[in-house]
Amino acid sequence: MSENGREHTHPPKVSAEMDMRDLHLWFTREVLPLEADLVQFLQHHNRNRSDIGDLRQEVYLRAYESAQTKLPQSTRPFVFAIARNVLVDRLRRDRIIPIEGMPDLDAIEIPDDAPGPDRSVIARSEFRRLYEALDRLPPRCREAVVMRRVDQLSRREIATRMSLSEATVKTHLNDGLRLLVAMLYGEKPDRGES
Amino acid sequence: MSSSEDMKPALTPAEQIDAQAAAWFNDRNDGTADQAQFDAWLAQSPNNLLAYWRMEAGWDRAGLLAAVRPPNHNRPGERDRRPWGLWLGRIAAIAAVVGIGIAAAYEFSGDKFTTYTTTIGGHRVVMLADGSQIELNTDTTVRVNATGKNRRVELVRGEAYFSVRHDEHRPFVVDAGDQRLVDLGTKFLLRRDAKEVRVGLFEGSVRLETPGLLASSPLAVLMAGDVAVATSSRILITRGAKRELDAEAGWRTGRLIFDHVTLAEAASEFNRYNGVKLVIADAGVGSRKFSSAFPTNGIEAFVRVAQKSLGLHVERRNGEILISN
Repeated sequence: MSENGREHTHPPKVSAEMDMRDLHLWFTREVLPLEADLVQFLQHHNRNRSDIGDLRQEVYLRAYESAQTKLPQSTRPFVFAIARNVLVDRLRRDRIIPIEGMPDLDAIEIPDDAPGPDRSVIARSEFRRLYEALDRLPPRCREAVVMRRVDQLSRREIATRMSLSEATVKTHLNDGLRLLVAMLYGEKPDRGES
Repeated sequence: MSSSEDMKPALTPAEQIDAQAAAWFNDRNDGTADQAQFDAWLAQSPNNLLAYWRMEAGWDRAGLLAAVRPPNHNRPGERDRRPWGLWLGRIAAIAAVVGIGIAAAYEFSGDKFTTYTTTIGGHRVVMLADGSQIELNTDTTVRVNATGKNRRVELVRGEAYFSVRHDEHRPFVVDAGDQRLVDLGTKFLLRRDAKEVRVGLFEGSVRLETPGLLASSPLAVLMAGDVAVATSSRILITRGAKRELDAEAGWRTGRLIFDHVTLAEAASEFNRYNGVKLVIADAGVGSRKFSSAFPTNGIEAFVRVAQKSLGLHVERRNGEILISN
């Protein structure tokens, strides 16, 4: 094997950047499922009434940038630590100094009840959840989304069937996707069955 | 026409990014996006990329809906013409068409099942006419109907390893209690006992569903390395469990492989294969963990390990081996 007598000199990997696919997987599998808890956390501690969506995006951005060098061992504490920093920075930036200071932010307990990275529980309620989310879309919007996602029709076909312009269908689908995603990730599932 | 537009509340900056991401995702999904412009948009800010990933993941998730659509939505011949970039969506869509087609076909087919059984300690390979194989583990019964249009198997009890030859026109459907597996070209392990149904995927993919409850049935597409455990109330899926799977399939080569399992679990495994039953006296002993491998009939070797290595007390009496502290 060592034909030239040298020690094994495999050059150390110099890839400072994470593989994009790893980041993508990590973000969708580990970060996004935390969104409902994250939103709740942000709402609870949002002293200066920043827009929650804006705070959430800021958390995602920092998490993403920080994970580029190395994925965290444990995503949940990592994301919530970033969330806390985002909140603190906002308070500083807006020069809002709460009278009681920030001790509660430090004392926040992050419940670690989420399944581990390689596990996912598909409860029977997942389907009901999807249906309910769909159900809460505006009627025309829902109709278009169902034709696209379930029947897999093109926008043109949907436009014909709904007697709408393609541009209107496009708007329905774009709104539908944005609202659906906000419900699926941003809201807590029902705590009914397990 | 434009009145409804005026009614819309203004979007926050974050919602605007989400709206852009949704629009890009939909355009690309519809094959009408300009790649250079999309790249330019992505390059503006990582926020855009993350919002895009989020839309994509949400759409993927909603793909489960496609897999349980009611039959009257089914429009064969019109499916899958779209350039989905989403494998999940594609699999779910194909599975939906396949699964529903079959469910309908069952009702009209004759009930020509052949039963294959193994006794305790048995091991047998059943070759089907289509080239598929079913390898039965100990104390197992399967019923097979692979004639005509159907390829349908019922795992009545026990455990079997399936090597399925994929046939788009004759899907391979396996029922185990309340769970139904629809093969998408695959090798998998299926085990059924009183409490649960367990599926482990070695190759390919299968769709897991509950028959008869189209609208509310749970569903998952299992890929190689996935293990799903379904009980009456839920399905737990573990991804990337290749190592555990290899251990679980040890019986195919006549071995029981224990990787950090409790004595109680090991004992109940041995009891599946042997007439002589192991009884663990108390929970304290039963919860001790160990790792080792034995022949499936190596109950004596196991007893020696319990005695010598773990220092436990062994007592034999009429067909039972009692292990205690």
